Amino acid sequence: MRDDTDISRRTALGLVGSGLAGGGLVGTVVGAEEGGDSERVRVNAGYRSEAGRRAIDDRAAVVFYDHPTDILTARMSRAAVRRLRSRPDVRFVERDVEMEAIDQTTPYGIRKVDATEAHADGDTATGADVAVIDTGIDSRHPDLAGNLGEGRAFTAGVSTPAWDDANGHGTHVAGTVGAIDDDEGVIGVGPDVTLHAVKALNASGAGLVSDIAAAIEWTADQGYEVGNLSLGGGSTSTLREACRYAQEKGTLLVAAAGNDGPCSGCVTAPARYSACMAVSATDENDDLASFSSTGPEVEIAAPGDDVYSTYYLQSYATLSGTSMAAPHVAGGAAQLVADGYAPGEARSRLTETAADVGLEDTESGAGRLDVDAALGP
Amino acid sequence: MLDASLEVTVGDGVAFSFTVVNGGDTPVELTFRNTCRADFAVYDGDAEVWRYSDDRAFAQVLTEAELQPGESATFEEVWPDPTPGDYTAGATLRVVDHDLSVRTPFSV
Repeated sequence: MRDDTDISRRTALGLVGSGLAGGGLVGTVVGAEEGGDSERVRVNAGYRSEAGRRAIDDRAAVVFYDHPTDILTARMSRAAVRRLRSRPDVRFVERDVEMEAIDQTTPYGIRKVDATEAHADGDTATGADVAVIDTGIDSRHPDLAGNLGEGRAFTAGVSTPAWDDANGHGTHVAGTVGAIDDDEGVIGVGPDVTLHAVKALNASGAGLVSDIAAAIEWTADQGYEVGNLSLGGGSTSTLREACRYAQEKGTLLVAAAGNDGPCSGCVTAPARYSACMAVSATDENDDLASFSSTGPEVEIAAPGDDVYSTYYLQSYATLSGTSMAAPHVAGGAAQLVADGYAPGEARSRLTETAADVGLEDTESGAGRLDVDAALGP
Repeated sequence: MLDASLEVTVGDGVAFSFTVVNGGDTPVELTFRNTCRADFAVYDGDAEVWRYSDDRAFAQVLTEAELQPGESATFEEVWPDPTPGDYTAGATLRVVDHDLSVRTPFSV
């Protein structure tokens, strides 16, 4: 018989447990809460003899594994656990534990753009504000929550404070900009940046141009130095003028070039506007990602193929797209802002110091982002 | 081998239903370019009078799906404010490595 409540209980315990230890594997006790004798728990029971094995097997509601190490993984009542523990032919009965890797992973893109060196020099983008204009950000993500600032949602013409992420995309983008440097998950380009969730894309990852425009205008009015636009689509005067408004207010907009590649002269809006810094996508070998749009508007390139980052529902995921490239640059701009550069100066500094990786100008603009070089000696 | 069909229903708005079927005998891998998985347009002669994606923005992330033999996927959108006339509707699957478009005439 199956105890259906066990799944949610295990999940809840797993979340509590994941923040406790540093490095390696941490175990979380399963089914350790109060319960009566008849409540079933999941255990690993080791036996000394065939009689011990039979005793375990007889009392188990379900046997999951028969290990070659003379251990059975089974579900049984608490009363059965107690009785088995008193038998000399049973070596032990221990609770099954959920193992979770909690070492921090440095995604290849963070290393590639030399953000790792910047972190080692103590540059972590403290005090810089980045608006993630996207599907929202998972407010409960342990790798992001400590860096979250204000937020706002603009969806289907309505502005509300409900900016949480129901898609995952915005949470992924946010993690690349500024996932926290701790003992779990990933690390972002600027691990001490302040992230603002400006939700303008719905749960399907789409938004009206008017929503995006309102989100950009709000970002500029808040005085945030950087706005990340991992989105693209139709070009309208409303969107173009919103971007210009942000530029005049001193907000640097970093935008995904688009995923229409292989193609040329195909940079999407808003990335193609002069008020936006258009970012194409490269891969782990600094080659152009096959899906990346290219064109004269591309100013810089950054890793966008198979990028590992935070995801909604407190998880992690590997995603590809120019959406994943732009936030590396937004994080780099935040690093410069924290170092005293005005947003407009940060834009030119990032291109001046980009690494030549042998791509055409229309493919990578000035080259591939190099955060450490931009910050200088 | 992908087959496509486009159904147009004229009511308050004009509803488009774009169906893609794997008519072959092996699975087909689809990589959508962004969250605009299918785009829809309306033409008056050669002139495009409406396009679904024109006033929208989409997350620029690839997503993958696999269509098993015989399996289909349907994408739906609405042209909200049609003016009377004779038109052609067009639908395009926005995927890498496949070029799949279909057109259907209709009248409002």
